[in-house]
Amino acid sequence: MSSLVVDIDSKVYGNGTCAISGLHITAKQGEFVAIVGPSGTGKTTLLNIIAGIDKQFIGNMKFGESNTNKNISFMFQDSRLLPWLSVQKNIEIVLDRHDRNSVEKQSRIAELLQKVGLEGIAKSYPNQLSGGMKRRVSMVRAFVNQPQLLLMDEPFQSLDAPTAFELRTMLLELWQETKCTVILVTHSLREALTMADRVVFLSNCPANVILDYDIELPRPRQLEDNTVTLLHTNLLMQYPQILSGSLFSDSLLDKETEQSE
Amino acid sequence: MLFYLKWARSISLLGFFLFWQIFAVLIGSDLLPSPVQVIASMWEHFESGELMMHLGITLRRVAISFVIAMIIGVALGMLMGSRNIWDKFLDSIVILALNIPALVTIILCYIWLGLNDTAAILAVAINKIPMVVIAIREGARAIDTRFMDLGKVYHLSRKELFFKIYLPQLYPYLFGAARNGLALIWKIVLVVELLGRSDGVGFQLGTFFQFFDITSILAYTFAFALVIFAIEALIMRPMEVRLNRWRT
Repeated sequence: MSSLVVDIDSKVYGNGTCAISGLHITAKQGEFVAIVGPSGTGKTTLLNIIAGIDKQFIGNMKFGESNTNKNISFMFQDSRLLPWLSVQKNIEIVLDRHDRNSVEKQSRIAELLQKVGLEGIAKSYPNQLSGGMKRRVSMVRAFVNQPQLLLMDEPFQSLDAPTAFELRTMLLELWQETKCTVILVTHSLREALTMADRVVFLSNCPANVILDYDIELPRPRQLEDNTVTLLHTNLLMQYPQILSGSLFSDSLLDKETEQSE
Repeated sequence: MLFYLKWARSISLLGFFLFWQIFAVLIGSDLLPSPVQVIASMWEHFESGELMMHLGITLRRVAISFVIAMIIGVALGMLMGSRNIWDKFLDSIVILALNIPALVTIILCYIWLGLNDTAAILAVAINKIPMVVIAIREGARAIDTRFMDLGKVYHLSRKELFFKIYLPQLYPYLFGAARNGLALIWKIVLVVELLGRSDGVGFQLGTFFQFFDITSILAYTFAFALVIFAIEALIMRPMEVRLNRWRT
């Protein structure tokens, strides 16, 4: 069982502000967990810690049996393709150097590109692609190495609604195929409720978990589904301040602003 | 329109030579030979074999000191651009080295190491290194760490991190340093040869100067200009185009 256990006692930025304090998150193998929290609460920092980019923290991070697991993928807020490499090379770079050119890997790349509707662009450079296409390439890159853990940092931000819809659908298909564990950071509660098995709500800075909520709606779900809307409304009725990082309401008036999300 | 653009380089050169030829014929002085005379003289020097020999020796010195200056300059520049402590530590030395007159380094190298090729090449390299350092340091400071993070997430080897993610971001700075470097090194090498060597283009120019042989001086200059154009057209530009094809 490669489950993810994150225990961060404290993470302090270089300037002395405390980003995360006493945060505990787990995810079972194959689980899709969304993390929602106010902006600036250290969600990206949390992902960086899980990804192993940021090692300056006090606490423990464990994924699977070994502490050094190679199959972690990361979809960034920006598509983060290397502009000087072609699409093909951008995808290949995350594969193990020795079997990059194997028939198996090459056909996997071709298959994934086709699945996201990007056949025939392998030789193009990222600057020649639209924003939506770049995200799709970065999704292919994230899945090509058969990740056991996929981290996503607001991957559908600043995309038009139809493109975001397509990408979400593709993501869910690929997730169901690969059965990887997913941690999705988003500021959209609706998106979290549509995609995830569970939503973890974070408090204001320094971040810790204020609510761990299981979503029991059947799949497939759409952003506009009535069931999703109902759950969204109910959650905000129950915890009007949840998106500002607090379980309890200071004033009922705030409810209006929360719901206009 | 496209035709003019394509030939713009050649047209401007041609115009320059035409103007020179007319002007030289008009004033009819020994002090300004015409381009036709210069080319004829170049051919003579070429046929006797002496032009190629001295040019070859000079080019060898240029190449060796260029490589040394680039390797040391790039290494120091990257170190200073990415490690603050090294930057602080070495900054004043680089500024000092940048401002020591070339002539001083050359004289000191000759005095301390003797009138030999090692001293000559060392003097040239010392003159160039600080300039490479400054250029590459700018590039290293501008490295986008977000791309480095990407490499870390996917556990790229150090080698790949360097060659696929770090170095491509430095290419424009490397090219700038190489271009300036070649031009500057060529100029300093001639001074070095004039002052302390008995072969090379610089030595030859010194000899021609003593005889007031302006035609030969220009012939040698001309020959070197041809070499520079060849390097630019055959190495620099194709490489730049290849490395920049993604910037569309």
